[in-house]
Amino acid sequence: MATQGPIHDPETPVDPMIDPRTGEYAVIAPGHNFRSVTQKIAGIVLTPNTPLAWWGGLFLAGTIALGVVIAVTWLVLKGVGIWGVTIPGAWGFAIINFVWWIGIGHAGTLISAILLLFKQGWRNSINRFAEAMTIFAVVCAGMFPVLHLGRPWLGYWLFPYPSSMNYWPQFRSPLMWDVFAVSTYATISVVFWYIGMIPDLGTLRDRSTSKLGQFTYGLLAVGWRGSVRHWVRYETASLLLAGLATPLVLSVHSVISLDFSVALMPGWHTTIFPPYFVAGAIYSGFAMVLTLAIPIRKFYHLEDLITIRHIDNMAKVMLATGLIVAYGYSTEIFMSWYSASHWEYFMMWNRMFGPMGWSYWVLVSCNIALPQLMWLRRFRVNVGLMFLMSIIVNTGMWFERFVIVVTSMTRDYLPSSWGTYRATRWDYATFLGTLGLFTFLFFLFIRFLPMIPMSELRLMLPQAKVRERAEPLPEAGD
Amino acid sequence: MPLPEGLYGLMAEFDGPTQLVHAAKAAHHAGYRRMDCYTPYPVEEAAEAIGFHRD
Repeated sequence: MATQGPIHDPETPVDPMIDPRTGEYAVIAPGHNFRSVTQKIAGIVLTPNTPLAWWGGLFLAGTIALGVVIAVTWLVLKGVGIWGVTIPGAWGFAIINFVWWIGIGHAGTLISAILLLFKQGWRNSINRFAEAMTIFAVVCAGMFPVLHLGRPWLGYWLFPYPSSMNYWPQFRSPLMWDVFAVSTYATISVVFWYIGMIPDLGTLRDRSTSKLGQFTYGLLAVGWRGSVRHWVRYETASLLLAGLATPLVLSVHSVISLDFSVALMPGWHTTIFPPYFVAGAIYSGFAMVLTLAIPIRKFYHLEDLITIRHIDNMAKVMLATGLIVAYGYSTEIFMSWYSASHWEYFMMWNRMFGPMGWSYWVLVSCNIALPQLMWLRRFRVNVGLMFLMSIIVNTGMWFERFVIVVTSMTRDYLPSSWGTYRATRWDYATFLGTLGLFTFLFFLFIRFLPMIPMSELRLMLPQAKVRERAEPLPEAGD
Repeated sequence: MPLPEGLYGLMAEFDGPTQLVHAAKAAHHAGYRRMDCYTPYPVEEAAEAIGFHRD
């Protein structure tokens, strides 16, 4: 029917992101050089004119973050009774929020460690703020289990130290494993983030015009001079840290899933939990990276550095991990029937059609149904829709934890001990407060630290490559 | 402060990594060892050119 024509319609321009020489996708938009990349990123930090919107955002986020201060103060004064946690729903928002926040952090580690080892160049534009996201998410996550202890000021009892009271942590409890998993994770994340930032801190030190800036960035840059000897050590350190962080991407959320699956609760006691939790963590983490990246690239005009290709790639990761999560849900449904266990069967029925059944369908629509739209390229490259999708997936992943924690706990084996769970205003204040705290810390980060690694972006430029045959320079030849 | 007599060292600035690596190789070939390259991003070839290896 259609007559033979050119493969590329001359009316439609060739994608400018494809390098015509190599046919490869460029990580950053064409037309940039070392100077422009550095100016763009360092300029955000070193500008004397702080954008008014930044102040507004900081103020708003700070105000919401005060909610957590008030809620935690009241919690310490009154006790966990102000929360909705009770028997049988003893975990409530505290554990839901803990798992949700820690899961979000996982994308940062995946981007900075696993994608580094896999030599995925596109990670370079997003790894710094994804790592910052990890750290701030761990800060928010870490608060919940400690506050949930009931007497948070005795939280140090969780650490095995020689105590005159002759007690020792219960190492057979997965809640104890959490302590080590999360504290290791926090440590590695901070170290990786800081080490990766040293060359950029050197750049900021050199470009800063204020005494305070020169001193502070100079102190943080620990004498970075950009010598090739430094770079060799730096790259070795990055690889080693990536190697250390890689197992953590898988292990931390696996350990957290064991909090559930070691318990003999219907719906919790399954072996699918570790892989399914890890996939869910990466799923929600990438959603959060998109939630942060899309407004930031718009506001600071970073469309050249965080391109449509980045958003497209992240959407694909979300699609893949979302399908693993969907597989996890279907395995749960299948096993509740195949196990022929009355309790498992009831658990599944209760999840879907019980008094909290609505939350299961929120989860299914947010995590499985709607994300299938990401199969369409037209959807993935639509920034506005992807922002919406990232919010949907974050919501869905929160509800996943809600369903797991609440439905299993409130209706277990013995109907006489059934109950329900209702969050109180203090639960909501703490949760919203951590959202504020997270945003507040992120606002500070984008203003005072380079949110995109300058040195790694310079490396992505075509002019950064050492060409094989150089024309001999007059002063260098013999 | 009295300045040390004679030639202390030489510095050169290059437009790109290719020229830098070329010059570093030539200097290393000519027998110079106490030298360094400063780059705004990792240039592995430059480290190799001045005889500094990952070990």
